[in-house]
Amino acid sequence: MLIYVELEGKRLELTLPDGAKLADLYKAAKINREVYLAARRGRLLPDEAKLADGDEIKMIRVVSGG
Amino acid sequence: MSLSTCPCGRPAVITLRYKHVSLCDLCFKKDVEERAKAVIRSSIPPGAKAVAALSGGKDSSTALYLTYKLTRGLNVEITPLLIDEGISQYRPHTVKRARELADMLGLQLVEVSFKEAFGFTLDDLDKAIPSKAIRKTCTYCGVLRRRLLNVYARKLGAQVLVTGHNLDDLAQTYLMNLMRGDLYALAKLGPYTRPIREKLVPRVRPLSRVPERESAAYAMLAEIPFSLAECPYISGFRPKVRELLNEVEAEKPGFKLGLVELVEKKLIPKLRELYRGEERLRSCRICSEPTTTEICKVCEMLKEAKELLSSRKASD
Repeated sequence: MLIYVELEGKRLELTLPDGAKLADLYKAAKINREVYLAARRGRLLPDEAKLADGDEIKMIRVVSGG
Repeated sequence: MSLSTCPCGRPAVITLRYKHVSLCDLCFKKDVEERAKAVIRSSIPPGAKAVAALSGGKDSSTALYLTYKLTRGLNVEITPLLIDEGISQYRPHTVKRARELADMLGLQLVEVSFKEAFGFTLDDLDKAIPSKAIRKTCTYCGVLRRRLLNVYARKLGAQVLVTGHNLDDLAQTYLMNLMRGDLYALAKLGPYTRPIREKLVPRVRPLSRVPERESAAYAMLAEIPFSLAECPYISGFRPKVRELLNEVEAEKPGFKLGLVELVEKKLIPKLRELYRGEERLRSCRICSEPTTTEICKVCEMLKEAKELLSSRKASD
């Protein structure tokens, strides 16, 4: 299935196996989950959230500051 | 249903890997509030006057909101205090959010700028610092900002200064001090630092057990006005330590919490014992603020900053 990921202002397309979860996306895209929160249609997602073909996942960078 | 569920049966919105649980919005907020409450209730007595450092970023906004929410009915007077360093690409967005939050809570925001306190903005200083200088803009900013927070908290009559330092900040600070071998600095840290001298307002860190990621999630779920804008002057050792800790945490969930608890429960009490009676604080010869040296870091940096600004002016 195809998942669209919005990451740091870029739109990535990722092919994941059917039944993949958000945790699989983090691994496949090499995204450190300590640095981002993931949201689908404006709603935050847990690692076990199942993804569906065509999902648009926004990665919100939450680590900042000096 | 495609979402995992919270133990309460509602759809989960966040996974806390170090706790082996995913929680819904309500249970997550309650969980964060309980962690903050443990800090707030043990360090802000009923009837106290608290000043809360507010930048408009996620952490200070969440810390202020939680302090307000969790001291309701305890007659605690809270004044948010904003330091405007004069960073044109960044600060106006965060100031807007800070004002919105203060309005939302019905609190009077006190704003103090570098320009009025020191006579220059951070943007002015940044332009005057040579690119090869050892001290970067971020270093000056941290020292000068902390001074204004302490001085104005004191002027406002605060018994405590609430800050937005989260678990990640503490893990970074402890690790940096350990790496530098600065055990005296470590001895002065911890979740609630009592004043060594009257002039130092003790800090309260409601987010000391809340990771940075969860501080942002809480702000979003509680619909607190905040900005995720990033300061353009971030530099130095801390970002590297942050990256290192986040890499380790991703492999070993709970590492940051373990480090902070180890340092606070085992190391800091021993270090405080070691340094007890070793009163190294005195008054700065120039400004009379507390310092461990004859002239404090702020006066030293202000002298440097003024020299840099004058040479820049002369070369223009």
